[in-house]
Amino acid sequence: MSKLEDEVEVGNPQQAHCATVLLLDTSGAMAGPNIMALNQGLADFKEEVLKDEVASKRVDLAVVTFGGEVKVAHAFSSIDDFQVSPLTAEGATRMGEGIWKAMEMIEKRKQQYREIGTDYYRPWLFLISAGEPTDMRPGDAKWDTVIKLVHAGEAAGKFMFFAVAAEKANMELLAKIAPPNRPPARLMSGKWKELFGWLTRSSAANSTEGGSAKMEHPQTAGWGEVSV
Amino acid sequence: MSETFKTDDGGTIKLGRELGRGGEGSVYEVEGQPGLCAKIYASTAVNVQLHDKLKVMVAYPPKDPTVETQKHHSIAWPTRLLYRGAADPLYFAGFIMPAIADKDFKKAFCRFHPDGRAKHSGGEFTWRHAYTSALNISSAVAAIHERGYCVGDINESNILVSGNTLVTLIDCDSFQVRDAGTGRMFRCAVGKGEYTAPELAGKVYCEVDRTPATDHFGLAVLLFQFLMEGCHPYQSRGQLVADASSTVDKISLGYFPYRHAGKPAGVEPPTFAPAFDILPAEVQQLFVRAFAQGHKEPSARPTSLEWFSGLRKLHKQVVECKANRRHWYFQQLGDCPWCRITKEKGKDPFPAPGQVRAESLLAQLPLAKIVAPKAGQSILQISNASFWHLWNKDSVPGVKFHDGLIVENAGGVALSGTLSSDQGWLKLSRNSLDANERSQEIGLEIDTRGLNQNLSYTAHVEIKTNGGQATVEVSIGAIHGAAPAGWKFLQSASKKSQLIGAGANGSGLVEREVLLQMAVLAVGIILASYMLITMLK
Repeated sequence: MSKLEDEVEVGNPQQAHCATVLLLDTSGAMAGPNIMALNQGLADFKEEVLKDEVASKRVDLAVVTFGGEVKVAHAFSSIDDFQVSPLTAEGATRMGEGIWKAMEMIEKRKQQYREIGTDYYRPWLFLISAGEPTDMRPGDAKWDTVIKLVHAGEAAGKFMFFAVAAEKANMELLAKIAPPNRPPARLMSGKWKELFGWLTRSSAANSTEGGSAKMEHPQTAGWGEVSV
Repeated sequence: MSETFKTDDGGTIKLGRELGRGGEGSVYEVEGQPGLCAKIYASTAVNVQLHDKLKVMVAYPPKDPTVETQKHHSIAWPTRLLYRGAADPLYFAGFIMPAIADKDFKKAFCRFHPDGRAKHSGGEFTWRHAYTSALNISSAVAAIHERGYCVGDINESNILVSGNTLVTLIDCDSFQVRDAGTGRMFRCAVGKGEYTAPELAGKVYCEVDRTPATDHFGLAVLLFQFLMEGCHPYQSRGQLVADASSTVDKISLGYFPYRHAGKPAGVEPPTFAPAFDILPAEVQQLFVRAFAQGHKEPSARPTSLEWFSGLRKLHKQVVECKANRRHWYFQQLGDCPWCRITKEKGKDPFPAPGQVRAESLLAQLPLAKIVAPKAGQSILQISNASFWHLWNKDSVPGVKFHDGLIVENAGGVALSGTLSSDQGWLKLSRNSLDANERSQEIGLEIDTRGLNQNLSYTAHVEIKTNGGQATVEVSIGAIHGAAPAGWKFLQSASKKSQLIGAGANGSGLVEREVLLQMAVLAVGIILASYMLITMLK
């Protein structure tokens, strides 16, 4: 079920890649200043990563949104070619399908890397939500499948799953979705800019320091609250 | 911030503008000394051990291969220690080093990576430039090794390369230093996986001694990236590497995927890599030694000096494509590989810059003649190889060009003698050698006033010494249409000098070109000399 949107040429194939999917909540829960901050954050992210010559050749970025329906707002590309039309917030929170889609895209992208011989680091799946999934509930078949894939994928080193809870996100459910070794971080109110700053630094570090297990991610201080 | 610091020789410096900031400190301009900069450590990074290490470095600098010949620092080596107050380790603050202020110097990454290259200089940084950069990097690393130091952390970001292939090794304070007097070892605590020799994989950098052989691995990776369009030598595809996703994993496996005796089936070069055959057999063989044999056997890897001389020897065989001035390749290939790649991929790896470039200029590369040997225990050696000046039609009429000729003494006693020019338009800065110097630069001034731009001229510099005689030929040529025999195309690229490093033994070859941007085929001034050694009687 390969779609054209997934089969984009790998840019800068000489450089080891770090496939990164930003999985963004664009449901009604994000309406207002949050969605604006998210759009600004994406623009800042591009600008900042471009300043790092090496990282900009390595971060392979895609954006998937789940608001009403799951959409690939941007298929994998180098930062140079990264361009997302302004996101709008509406509809239900189809987080389960969104996660599914993101994991599928990552596997396909890795396959593409392997076929041409591009080296890669462990991909990132970065989920930001302000609500709770409306397309799956604990205990139903979809929930079980998605959670199992997330936890198994993280454990097997297929990707790194980060979850950020914004605003009124259901922290309890997000904690169940996120892998046990990396619980979700809660975004302090309005600290979007700081969050994307962190994301930039982490992406740059991950893509230039080899994404080794030893690498430490910058502290979430500045935007993250310690969860209780 | 205009803090003042004491230097280890009793002087005082004042900091100027901050040039950059990193985890362990900041680099500043030094007020009133544009050629220098100062690195001041953060209080968390500074300690007595670092002081002792830098002290050894300042006392025993390597012989920079380009300082004398090119007035360029290929190694940003610390020259003075800085203190807050008395010259006591407790007050140690940082050090002074040569500044590379020219914005044209970019991280090596920006020069070997095809996209970075296109972004910074269009297709003007040609494969010939990449080749020459590789040569120059080898020469700088050889100079480091010659003094017993190891770079340790060779990588794509701590070597700067100019548009004219001058290079500078930076972050020298991270090098591995051994105090020859006490035997004390100061290790290099940093490294990057993609350039780290397999025998060091998984080890903690500050807990292992580096060797020239571990540097030879990193050096070969970097040279491969320059010569093979940014590809890493172990990047590959196929069954054998199906489970190795990262470059570091692939280095551990150790399959060099390019054709060589003993290459296993089931591993192939990446689809986007240029054919290994764009390199001549000798260079391929060096890479095979570095990455196939050298994977398990560090001593099999070519040394920096081997790289330098191997690449140097073949440099003249890198020729310009008849169809595209930005395409340079090995003569024996017959057909231009870049034209083929452009056709196959629909994308030129050396794209034309925005504006229309001018015609190529022509330059001649005559060899200096070896004249009769003469008695003496001193040996005359001319160590500039060749350099050209190109003159375009926009040049100021009557413009003067300046350059220099390095005269060295390779013998044991003082070298003395005289120099003369046989043409009025070629003036020398002096007409006798300074017997106290082992190496000296003779300034050359080419005065184009009164010369007809449509004609060719040749002058000779006669050097007569007690260590032998030499004649250096200097030509100014106006060339229209096809190149006469013995002349070769030279691509116009930039205003600064290009160089092909010096031999690490300190008396090797230096080649330089001064090219003018947007040059239009008009008149070339060619100034050339070649290494010559006159023999003892």
